[in-house]
Amino acid sequence: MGLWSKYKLRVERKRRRIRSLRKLRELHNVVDHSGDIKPADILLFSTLRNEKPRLKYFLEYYRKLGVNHFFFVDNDSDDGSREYLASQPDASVWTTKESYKRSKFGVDWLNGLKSKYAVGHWVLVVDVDEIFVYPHCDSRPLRALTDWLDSSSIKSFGTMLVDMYPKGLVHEAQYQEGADPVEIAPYFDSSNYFFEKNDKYGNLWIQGGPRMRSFFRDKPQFAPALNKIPLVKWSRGNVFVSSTHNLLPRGLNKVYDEWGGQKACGCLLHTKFLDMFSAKAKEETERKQHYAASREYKTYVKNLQSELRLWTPQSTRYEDWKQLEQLGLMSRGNWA
Amino acid sequence: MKLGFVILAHENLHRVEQLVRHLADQQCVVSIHIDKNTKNGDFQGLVNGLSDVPEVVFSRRTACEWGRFSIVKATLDASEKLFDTFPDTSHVCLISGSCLPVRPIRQFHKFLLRNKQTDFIESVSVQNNYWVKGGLNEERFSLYFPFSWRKHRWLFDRSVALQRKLKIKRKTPDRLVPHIGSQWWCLTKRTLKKILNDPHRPHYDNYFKSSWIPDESYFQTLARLHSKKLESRSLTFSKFDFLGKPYTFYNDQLDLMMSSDCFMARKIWSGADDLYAILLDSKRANQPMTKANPKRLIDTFDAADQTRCEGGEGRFHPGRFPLGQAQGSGVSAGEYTVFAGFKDLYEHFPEWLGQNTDALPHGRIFAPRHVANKKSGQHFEGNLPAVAGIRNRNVRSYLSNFLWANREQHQCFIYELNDTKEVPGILSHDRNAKIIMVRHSWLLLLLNRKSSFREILIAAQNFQKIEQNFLEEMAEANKSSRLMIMELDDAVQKTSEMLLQATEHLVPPNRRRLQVMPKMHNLDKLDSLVRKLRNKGLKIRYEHKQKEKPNAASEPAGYSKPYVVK
Repeated sequence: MGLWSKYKLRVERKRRRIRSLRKLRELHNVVDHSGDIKPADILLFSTLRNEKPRLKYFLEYYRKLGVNHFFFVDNDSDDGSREYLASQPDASVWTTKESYKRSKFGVDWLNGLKSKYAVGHWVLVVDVDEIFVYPHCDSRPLRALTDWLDSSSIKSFGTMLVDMYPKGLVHEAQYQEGADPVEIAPYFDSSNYFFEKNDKYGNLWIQGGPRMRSFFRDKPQFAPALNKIPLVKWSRGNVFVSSTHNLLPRGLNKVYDEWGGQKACGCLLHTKFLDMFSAKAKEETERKQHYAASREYKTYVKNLQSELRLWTPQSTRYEDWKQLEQLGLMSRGNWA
Repeated sequence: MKLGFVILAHENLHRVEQLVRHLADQQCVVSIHIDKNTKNGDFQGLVNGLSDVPEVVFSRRTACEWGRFSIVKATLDASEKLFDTFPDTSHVCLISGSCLPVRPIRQFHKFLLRNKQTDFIESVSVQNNYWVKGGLNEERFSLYFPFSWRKHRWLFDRSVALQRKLKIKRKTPDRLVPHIGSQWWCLTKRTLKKILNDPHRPHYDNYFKSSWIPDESYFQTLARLHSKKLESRSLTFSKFDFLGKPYTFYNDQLDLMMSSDCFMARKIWSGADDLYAILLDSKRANQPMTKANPKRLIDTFDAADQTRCEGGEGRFHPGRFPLGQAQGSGVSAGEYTVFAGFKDLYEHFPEWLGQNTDALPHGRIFAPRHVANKKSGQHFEGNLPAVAGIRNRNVRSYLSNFLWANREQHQCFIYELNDTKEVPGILSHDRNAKIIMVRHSWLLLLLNRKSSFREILIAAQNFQKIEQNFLEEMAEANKSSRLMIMELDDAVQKTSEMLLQATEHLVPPNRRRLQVMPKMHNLDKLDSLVRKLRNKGLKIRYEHKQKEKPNAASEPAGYSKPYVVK
């Protein structure tokens, strides 16, 4: 990579950072417990809209992993999500009625908050329908992973988004508040993922899974990106570029080995395809607030007609992280 | 007998306190060195916390830097302090603040009682060993190291390179023979005192001050000078990963730790509550050495290094995407064979492969408009869609996904020259791919075309170009003889011989049995097509059959009759 390209990325990073600080003005604080944060705490950042049924399990899951403090940006929920989060002792909540799209789909808001609160901390950036699975997650807390990453001088941890789906029709997979969404949508594609390298930012670009084969069969190039870097040791000046797909400085995207070996990495189980999905897709298409002119949601709605089934006889039922490792979707690397 | 511990620590001091309390409780004495880089508040907290424990002393704090003499100095100071405060100490064990006893301390005591005069220190001569994993070995002693590796990596590397160029060789003090080994040792009072009180110590210290990573060589070298009885092994288990970071133990590895034949183990994750509770329980039962299985421990960590450096073959995931030279280990997890140009030669060739070899045959998975024989919209194992558009967008990943599902078997598929054009480039880079190609097989594609001869001629010229490109792309594979070229006339005229050769690697020798040859397509028009094309100036390697002898005795098998192989 030439000096000029490096310089351009540096300018881009600064521009994005300043933009995110400016966008902080759009946020209104609902409750701020950030004073309780201790120096080595692990922080979670998320932005959401009308996700009330998912929140109980989400908070429980990540508390159990060892997240110490939650930061939420609520984008104008009207289903009680905001009030519920505000009542949690370990959560700080902001709210805004401003455009999700014009905040680069929430990236600016969260970048701004991280600049302010997260420097020096490990941060986990996930959506409320994403379940973070890493090597040994059944026996070792998140802190064990971040300590190991620290001692190995690794500053970011890569994952792949694995879309989960139920066996029957998606709208019939009833989700009860507090339940484990993976139990209701336990199936996934085990060998349907496509990898490229993004030369500009140096990250992997992964596509595939059920969304590609169901909604983007004729336009696979537009299938959603599945590469995610949700866990980062935050330094001043870091910015996420597009969702958590990639970030700057560029070196943080190098979560993979390109010499024929493998680095430790994990998966994000994406539990989007539950009964709430069709209503959500419809609402989001009308709001036109999603990536690439909400193409993803539009395609869903067009194909949906309420009879969406992603399951096939070739689908795999989820067991645990070891199964994902055996299937070659993640690796413990040298974290024995 | 009195066992003393020298503990070097710089973080997680609450764990150090726990460890020290346990050691004191087990009739040991302890001298602690806390790195000067550790916050004063934390240090004071530890001092206050241990104020009720008389068996503990704190030594003068030195700021320690990895790889430098400061760590040796800290050890020397703490050892001196230990002897000054507890003169009756008979053995000294050097451990870190993140160590835990694998076996009860009383078992350790008994062991030392049986080995009163023995110094346990791993100490290997640098001249004839490979103890060091990557990095400097003998040069640790012969060069100067004025720059910090941590802070000034570039200068460090340049300085080493320059000294190599200038052939700089530092002189080793007369009586010393450089030895190297694990930093953690257990020495007798006699040996350690001799090291501390050696009249030449200032001279030796100066020598080691310029050495690289002296904590792995100072005591290891000097013990050789003073010890009466030295056993070259460490009683503290410690293993480095391929980058030189020590492996860490977690709660789920208690059982693994117990397979060690050591008394102490490093390093323990500070959050491993269970390990601290179990291993520091004073009522713990002895762990008989007979049950130890140190190989299991070593194998586990070696496997982890291997997983990191060469694991995941045949798979891409968020932590693995081989590029450049490493692409050879990219697409496939095991060997597979590509039959190029067989579709129009033999009828039902994949089925024939399935019946006559151990291989798992697939059809033509890179055909222009379909994938093998699946209808578009159907899926292969793992939900890989049989959609040509998706396949062609990322051929490398598609092939990798495709082969993964049946990686335990030797898989085969058919490839024709008008199939997806990115495939040859990928095959040529994959060391697992074996390619068997029938030269000029495209002639067969043209055989039954109902177009004008002019169109056929143009198509032929086109195919010849594609074939040329294919062979050029395959040059890499050819070098490692993964490419086998069959001439078309041989394939037609000596079918059984050629097929046997082509599938030799797919059938184990002891299972070569009666074989049925696949039925050949009707190739009656081939001779005349070749002649016509030659007359138009195309260069075609094809020898016409001498005489028409259908099912003659010289062709013992016939094309569909069984015959015995070997």
